[in-house]
Amino acid sequence: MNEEASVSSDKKENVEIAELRQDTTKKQIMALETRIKYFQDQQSNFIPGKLLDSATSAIIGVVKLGNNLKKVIPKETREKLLDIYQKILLAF
Amino acid sequence: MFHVKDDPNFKKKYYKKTQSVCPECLSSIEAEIIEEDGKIFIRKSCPEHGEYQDILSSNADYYRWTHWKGETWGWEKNGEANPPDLKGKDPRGCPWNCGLCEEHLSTCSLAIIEITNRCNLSCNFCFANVEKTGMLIEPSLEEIERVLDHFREKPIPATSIMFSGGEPSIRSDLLDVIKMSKEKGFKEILLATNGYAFQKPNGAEFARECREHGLDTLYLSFDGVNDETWITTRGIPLKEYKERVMKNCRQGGLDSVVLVVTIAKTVNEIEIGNILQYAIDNIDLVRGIVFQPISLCGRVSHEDVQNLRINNADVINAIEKQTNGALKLNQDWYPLSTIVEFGRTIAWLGNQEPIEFTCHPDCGFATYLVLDPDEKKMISILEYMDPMAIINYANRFWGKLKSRKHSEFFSKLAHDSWKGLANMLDNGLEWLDKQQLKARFALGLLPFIKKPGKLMEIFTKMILTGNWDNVSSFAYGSLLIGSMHFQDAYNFDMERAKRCIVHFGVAMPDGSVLEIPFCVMNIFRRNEIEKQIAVPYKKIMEKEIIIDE
Repeated sequence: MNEEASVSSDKKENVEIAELRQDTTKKQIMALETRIKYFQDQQSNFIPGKLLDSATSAIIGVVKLGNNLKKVIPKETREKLLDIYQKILLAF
Repeated sequence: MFHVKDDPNFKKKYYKKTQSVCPECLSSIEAEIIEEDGKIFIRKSCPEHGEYQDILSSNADYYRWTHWKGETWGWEKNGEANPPDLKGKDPRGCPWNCGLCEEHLSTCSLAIIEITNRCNLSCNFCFANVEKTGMLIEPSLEEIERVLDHFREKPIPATSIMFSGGEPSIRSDLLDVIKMSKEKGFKEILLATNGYAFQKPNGAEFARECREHGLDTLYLSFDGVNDETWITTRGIPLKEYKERVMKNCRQGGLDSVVLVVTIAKTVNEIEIGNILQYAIDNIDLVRGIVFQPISLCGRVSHEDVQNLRINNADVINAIEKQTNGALKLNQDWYPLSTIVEFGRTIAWLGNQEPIEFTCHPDCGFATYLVLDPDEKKMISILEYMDPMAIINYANRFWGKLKSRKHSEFFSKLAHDSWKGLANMLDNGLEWLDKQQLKARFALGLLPFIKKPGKLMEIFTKMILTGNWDNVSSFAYGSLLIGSMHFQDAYNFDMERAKRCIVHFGVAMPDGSVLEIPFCVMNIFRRNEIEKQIAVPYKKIMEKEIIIDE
């Protein structure tokens, strides 16, 4: 943390610049699987985990439905509906 | 283009007056922050030492974006400060009263304790090395405990603690320090290290022990992926050394490493893309990258400042260029203060202590790259949601939530002998209330999710449960990319110091604890404080200095 004043201004010409690769490495997949497993472990241990899973699936289902509906509802109507929707949710 | 590009407030030319200091004599002087030629500068004049100008941002649009304020909210957030530790007596005010005085505006999110100034390296820019100063600074376990208690016993306790140095992994009692911190209730324990003890032959075992004692994250200094870079910055090649650290952490199950990149123009800015790629290649370990644009403290000439100075916009610009546009300057980056209300809401709903990022917008930026489970590649998290709409909703939600009181419905009705039962019923009511509030919060975010899929399922679960483990779990496989731009006397802005959330804790000889913002310590107080707490090191532990294997 105490890395402060560098007085060196050497320039390096021979350092490679790599472009960001977008391939999928084994490590990335492993990290993802661990993350998903974490939530699955929760589900197998607790009843609330099952409820959580159901609730999440329902929520994501609603998102998909909403995104599809967006395409057919005019923008102005959509904004009015969103305003009403938020007022209901924030009425506490 | 920036998400507020049509807002008239965004288009106004930037100008602000603030307080700064003379880089030569450190006297308080007025300064102007001005926009000129598409850049942002700080200008100030000392009656004795003349005029100074330094660049704050090489991109005025980006700077105005990070300081944007709309009709009801903006990025400059008010913090919730703890009561002051002392009443300032110095007529010069902030920062000369620091310790902390009543002028401070934020609470501490990240507490730092320097547990030694011994180090196995002797980098040319480090001024805290025991071999250079001849004075040993190494608080005892009792002194460290005193500092930990100081941060945890405040009305708003610090949630994260970082041990730094010197090289903290040189201390033989590091495991005791880590264990003690966990027992005191810190949620996140970080070690700012060059990786010394982790790169040794028994490094995997040491990493495992650190994890078991409660270490959460290794904050690993990482200047680049080429030895040429290491030789320039540290004087010796450290590529293999860092590889050993990573390998041993992997073997020892210490699977949270943040790469900390001290970045300087003409030195290692060219390595930014390489470091990002390295992080992605090691995503099973690397949770994030924190760029730290170099802070030019100590005796530095004005010419060196001009050569080495790099600002947040420069770093972001380099990221865009060196990643072939994977993250774009004008759409993917937000100041750290963005998520204050969102974080408070999640913490409140999950009964957790919040992390308060109420620092000044110039202090840092961040974004997330996430591994898309469906597309199998790293994508900016902002592609999944409409960030401004989500932040707006979170702000409104928190506005209502913050005044919500604990339920006393049954307690008020019950006779004294039934108080226990009444409290239990009230707790039940509160649990129900939180569940319906969680549902309201999650449902309110739905319209702004652009890309439903597995990742958003995980995100939704995080919101619904709100506990610390689940937040960490969401971070697993994701890459936080951020910056912490510490100040020096050239670019010092008093407003930033007052809102600092990264505080040193120092056990003072009189038994007190000095809590002091990071930049204020390094610019104004380090020498004076170290004189009070240091001991001549030759007399005590010269023989314990370890250079390397």
